[in-house]
Formats: sequence, structure tokens, C-alpha cells
Amino acid sequence: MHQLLITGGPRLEGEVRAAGAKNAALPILAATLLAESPCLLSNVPHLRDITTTMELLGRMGVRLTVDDRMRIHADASEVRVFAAPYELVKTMRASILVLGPLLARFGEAEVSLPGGCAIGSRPVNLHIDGLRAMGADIEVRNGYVQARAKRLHGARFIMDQVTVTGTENLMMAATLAEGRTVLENAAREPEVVDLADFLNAMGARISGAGSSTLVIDGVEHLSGAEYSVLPDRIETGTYLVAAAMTRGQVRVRATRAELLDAVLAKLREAGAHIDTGEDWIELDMRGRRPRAVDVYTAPYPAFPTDMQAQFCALNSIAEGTGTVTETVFENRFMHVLEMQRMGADIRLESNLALCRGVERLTAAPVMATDLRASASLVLAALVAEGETLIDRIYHIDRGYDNIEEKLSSLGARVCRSSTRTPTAGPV
Amino acid sequence: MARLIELGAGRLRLEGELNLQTVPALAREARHLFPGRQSRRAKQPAAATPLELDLSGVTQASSVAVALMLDWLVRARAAGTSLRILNWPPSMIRIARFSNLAELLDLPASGDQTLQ
Repeated sequence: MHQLLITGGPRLEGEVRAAGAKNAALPILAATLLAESPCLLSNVPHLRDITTTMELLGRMGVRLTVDDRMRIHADASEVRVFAAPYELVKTMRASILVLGPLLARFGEAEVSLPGGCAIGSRPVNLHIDGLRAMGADIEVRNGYVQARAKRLHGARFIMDQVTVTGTENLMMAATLAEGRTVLENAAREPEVVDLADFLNAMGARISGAGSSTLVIDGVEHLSGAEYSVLPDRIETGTYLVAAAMTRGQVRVRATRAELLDAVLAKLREAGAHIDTGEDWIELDMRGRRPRAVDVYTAPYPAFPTDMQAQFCALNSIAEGTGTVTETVFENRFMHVLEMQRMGADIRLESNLALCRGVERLTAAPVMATDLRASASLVLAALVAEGETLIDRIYHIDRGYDNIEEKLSSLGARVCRSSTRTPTAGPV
Repeated sequence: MARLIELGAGRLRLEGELNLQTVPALAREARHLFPGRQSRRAKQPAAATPLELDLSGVTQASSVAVALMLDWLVRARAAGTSLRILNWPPSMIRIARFSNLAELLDLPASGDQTLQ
């Protein structure tokens, strides 16, 4: 099992390139199933979930190649298998995203329920209920969603809970349905907009992306398209917080400032000087310690839940006291216990973390418990006194493309190992 | 356009573009190098000769090229010989890493993986 060994202290300086957003790339890869001719995707991040999705599509008969510019060519003209088996779905819940495209284009789909997802749980129910509203005949049997439809038809469907993957699945299904589909209370996240843009590039007729009402007029066929996946706003935000915590100056390239309005506002409040350009964001702390801020998570365009752990880390070494209130997910403060082991003064009260900034954290062996929690531990380790060993970093590898090399390029002392053998990175 | 040149004494050289159009023909052409698995009508039983493949002449490569290397490595092992691959083009190394195959191909697992 791999670990990260981080020696805290160096101020981060320099430039780093943001990767493409995994949460946009996964549905876009699934959407290639809808096209009758080849698609060409660029800016796809190097992450295990991406290769798992490629394996899933490959088993269905999608011909996938990666070219020398790391673009993915996906040709779904000869799909023969309309199933997503448990062995792949259990490793990646996003596999459910193939349900809508398979059903819409081929009239049948058999997709395993994600691991740990009880039949009848709300999020998967929304996918199923929406497809049923479009005329699909669906049964859940032996842990699989078995769906059939001659041709889906348009419908008005109100999602009683905002769900990103639910919105994406239904939007993809509706592109080939007969007539108009209206999705109410749709997710507004940039990754949903990116998928809509890709589908429109393939010939779909989707309007309202980015609002809570999506209108999709079904078409007979979709064809292949070239598309560049949008930058990862959470990765971008994480590197900016790393710069703020280390009192550094970092420019993130190949990103988009408008995706991060709420996060940039909080970083400015923390004392950061921020400049932005067409495809870059630069944060400069001018050597000063950040100030603690109050953060309240909510669906986009409000402050993202996927950035709250990073702001807990920032508040833990900031001047003053800040609160982080989590309203989107339960159980999202797993990182706090580990950060307390590093000397952070954080008190948990229900869905609120009260953080009193301390002068410095101290290194400790810690364990990553989930993706964003592990990112916050990396950030804490960057400013902790001594060497922090972070275990179970497979969590961080699911969301951060090449994190140790990117941090090292900014001056951090980070190395990956499967044993506890310290090797200092570039200073 | 791609071609496999046999230089003798187990030394091989690949040249040109390795993609979906060119690789299937190369795969067919190379079967005789790995007798005993696919091609039972091998021209020359080269199984005992360790093979060395030079990729410095590869001008462009997609993931199909990486798949071909994996296939040849497996065939060489099955034929009771070894295949040493030299001068990996940077693009093939990136693709191998992207596909989580670097370790299997005995390539360094990390490096510049910036995607365009």
C-alpha cells in the first residue's frame, strides 16, 4: 500500500497545470455510447476511475485508443454488450452513468447497483424513476437494474433531490427520446454543463444547462464529436489553498476562474491576493499568514462540499477562529480527527467544525479516509513541523492526478513510497 | 506506415507510426518470432534467442502500440525466450502510465504525465 511522506515547511511557489475534471470526464466517456461515429476527447485526467470506465466501455464493444497526445478516441459504432457487471461497478459508483445511454440508444441495459447502495436508496431511485417516466420498463433483480424500452419518450420529471449523476443520466437518456423532456430541480454544477455542451456538440438539443430546469428535445441520432474536458475546479482550489497555507505564490494554469467564484471569494477573505486570466488563477499571500474564514457548503454555485476539508486545514493554521458548516453530506468531517492528531484545535458540533487557528501543526502518522479528507491531510502536512506519513493514499489517487509531482514542482518535499523510507523532494 | 526490421541475432527495430491502422499487420508479421503459441508454422524457431527490440524509429504511437508491446512480451515468455524493449518513445511511456501499465512494462511509474 502506498504512502505519502511530506516534510512540512517550504513555501510553495511556481506554476502548476490543472488536470481535466474527473467528474466531467466520467459522464462524457459514458456519453460516447450514444454516438454512432467516433468521438475524440482531450484533457482527460490520469486517474484510476477513468481507466476503469474505459475498461467498462471496452467490454461493451467500444473501441478505445489513447493517442500520442493522450487524447481518447472512442468508437461506439459496434457495441455488442449492454451490461455493466458488478465486478467493475463495485469499484466505481459512477458506472451507473452507462444506464441512460445504453437504454436510450440500444433499448436495453443491465447495470449492477453500486456496492453499498441498498435497493431503494434515493439517488439510484431517481435515475430509475426518471427513466420509467420516459417509458422504460425497469426491474431491479439480483443486484442489477434491468431496463428495456423500445424508444424512450419525452417526459416532465421533477427530481425531489438535487443529484448530479441523476441529472446526467436522465439528460443523456433524453437526448435520443422521442419528443421533449423537461428535468426540474436539475443539478447546476459545471460538470453537468460540460456534459450538456459535449452532447450538444454531438447533435443533441439541450437548453437550460447551468439552471435548475433542463429542456431536452430528443433527436434521432447522435454523431461523434471532438471535445476538451473542463478543468478540475476542486484540484485547482486545492493547490490555491496549499499556496495560501504555505504563505506562497502559485499560479494554476489551464483552469477557469469562473468555476471557483465562491472559493476565490473565501481565499480573498483569508487575505490572499488573487489575479485571474482567461485560463489561469494566481494566488499570492505575500508571505503573510492566512486569516480564518467561515465557510458554509451548498450546491453550486455556492461553496462546494468538496472544498470544505481543505478549508478546515487552512483554518487550522490561520489567524483567528473560523467555522466550516457542512450542509450537503453527512459524515464529512472524518479528516478532523486526523488533523487533531497533528495539533489542530478543531471542535465538532453536529455539522459544524469550529477551528481555532494554531501557530503550527506538528507531523504525525495519519490515515486518509476519503478523497477530500486525504487532500486536507496533505495540506496540513505541508505546513506541519516534521515529517508526516499519510497512509491509504489510494483515496487521494482517485481524485488528484499526479499530486506528488505537482506539489514537488512547487517546492514541496513530498515523496511516495510503499515503505517508510524518507527521500526528500526538490527544495 | 510502419515496418518491423529484423537485423539478425534476435535484434529487431520498429519504425514509423504505430496505430490502429498499422499495428494489426505488424502483429501478423511478427508471429513467426514467437513460435509455439499462435504460429505453429514458424519460419525459424527463434525461441531460444533472446530478442531485443529498438523503438527509436517509432515516429508516432497510440495505445495500440503499447498493447502490441504487451502482446509480444507475453508471446516471448510463452515461447520460452525474453524480449527486451529499448528506447521507448516518451508518448508510449505516457500512454503506459495513463493505462496503469508502467509497472507491467518495467517502466518508471511516475514522471511527466501532463495530458493535452
